[in-house]
Amino acid sequence: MSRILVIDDEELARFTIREILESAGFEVDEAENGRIGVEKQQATPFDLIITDIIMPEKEGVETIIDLKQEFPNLRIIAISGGGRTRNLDFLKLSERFGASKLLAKPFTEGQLLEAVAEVMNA
Amino acid sequence: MAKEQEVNSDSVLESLGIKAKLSSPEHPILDMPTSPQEAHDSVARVTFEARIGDMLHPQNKRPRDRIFTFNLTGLRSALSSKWEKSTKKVHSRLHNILEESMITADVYFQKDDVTYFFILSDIDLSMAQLKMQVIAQDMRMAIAGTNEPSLITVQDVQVSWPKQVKLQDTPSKDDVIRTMLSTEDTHRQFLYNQAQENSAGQLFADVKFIYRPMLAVRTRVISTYICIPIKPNGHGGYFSGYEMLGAHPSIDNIFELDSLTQEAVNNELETLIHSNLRSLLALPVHFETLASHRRQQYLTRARELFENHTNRIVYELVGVPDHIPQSRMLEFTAALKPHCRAIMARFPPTHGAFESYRSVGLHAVGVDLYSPNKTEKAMLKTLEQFIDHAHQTQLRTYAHGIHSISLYTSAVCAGFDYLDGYALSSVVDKAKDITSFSYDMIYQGIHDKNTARSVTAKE
Repeated sequence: MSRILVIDDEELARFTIREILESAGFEVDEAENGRIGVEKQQATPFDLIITDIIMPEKEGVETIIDLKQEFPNLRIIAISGGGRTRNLDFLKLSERFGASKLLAKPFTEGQLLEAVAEVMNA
Repeated sequence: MAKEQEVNSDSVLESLGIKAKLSSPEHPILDMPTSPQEAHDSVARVTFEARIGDMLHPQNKRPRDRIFTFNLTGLRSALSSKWEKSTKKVHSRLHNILEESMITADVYFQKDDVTYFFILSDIDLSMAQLKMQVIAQDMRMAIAGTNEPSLITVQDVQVSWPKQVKLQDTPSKDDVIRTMLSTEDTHRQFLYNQAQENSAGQLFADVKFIYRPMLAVRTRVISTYICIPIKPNGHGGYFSGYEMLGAHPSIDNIFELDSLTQEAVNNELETLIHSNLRSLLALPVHFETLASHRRQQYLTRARELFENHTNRIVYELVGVPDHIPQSRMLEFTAALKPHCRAIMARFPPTHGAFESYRSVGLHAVGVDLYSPNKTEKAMLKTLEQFIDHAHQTQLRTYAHGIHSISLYTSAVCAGFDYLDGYALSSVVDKAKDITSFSYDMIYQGIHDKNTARSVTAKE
């Protein structure tokens, strides 16, 4: 079973993404910021990481840079609020530093699962 | 040894009325939480128990943490029949206050409907007591609109090895402050003495000025340098700005510092002009200087210094009291306007009433994020709330003290117009020319540093 780590400071966002992914048969773990996320990846590596961009302690782009440095082949999906232009700027920036796929919030269950399938099968 | 530690921490927890053992199979607390709140509560409890165990460990060499408890029985009685219906809302509000007030190293958990426990880390007892009393005061005001102490009582939990637990009423906020002021050799006393006993000449003898680059987010340029007076604090660091004047500075000392800063900015401006550099210089001016009898003296000097270069000067009004009337603010902006290009005003993070300042000639309103007692999570929330209020009035916004990449990303995405802080750029001794900036510059720096570290490790 593929293992996915969801990094997001919003508990409800993590909860929802976890529900969707577990229903689809994935094993899911959570982290509330990038620092904890990187620690969890170092402890027990995951097949895919889904990370938010705006978070306290360590935000998404910095997290992606650190993760890709240590795990160059790690697959990462970056997610962020799509309502603000500047959020999208940072989402695009995350692709430059190693995110395989970008998803602007809000996204549907179908869009999330499609993105996960695409990245896992790449 | 580990067994002994476990027994002792259990005893202490039981003395505090915390009987269920998390690791025990008969208690369901380790079951999968059914909601995010339950998950949060479980984690808070595990952390609390672990810290108690850590504190009681015989080999613990850390300074002892401070444990406190809040009792809400008085609040429950005051709300009487409304308590049942509003318990959830009350605790949700209290949790929000705690999230904003506690730092990462602090731990709290809600034992039951009327009891909270706290462990505060690495601060002296008086500071810890003051912090708890201020939080309790915020809670009473938020829920009941009054600061009646009996609504939420605060107690110190005194734990001594191996298992003695004693509850003692925490002194009131005023008593704690009195104790702090009467204590010799404290940091506060040092500041107070500096401000009160030194003559103005001595107080300002070793003041220096540094410049903090400010990023204009929309245009992505660093075009303004903020002048900051600093002074050695006697412990290897520096006091910054009005901090060097102590907790209760005199109007004359505030005026002196503002005047020195004004002179320093003039000198720096001359250097910039001489070197053909185009950047702007920003300087703070305190509300008290403009509200006092020294105002005319300050403004006269401003006219003399900046007469031909007002388009290079930005004033930042600081120390503005909450809810200052529009007419008063207009008085200050009208007084400063002839001597500068723009006026900004710094407000407390919680300030929300910007509506009346829309048409008083302010270019921007801002907030200082330097607060060692706030978690980054709380700071992010502060940023969001501040900008929501400010944007309703279409005022431009700025934030000082962006000291981490997370704050930088959040502030940019929240829509702040101007930012400064260590995460963006170090302070400099001399203002520089206008330079361009891109969102990815900071990340590229991290990426390059990581790559360099990796190459060095391989070599």
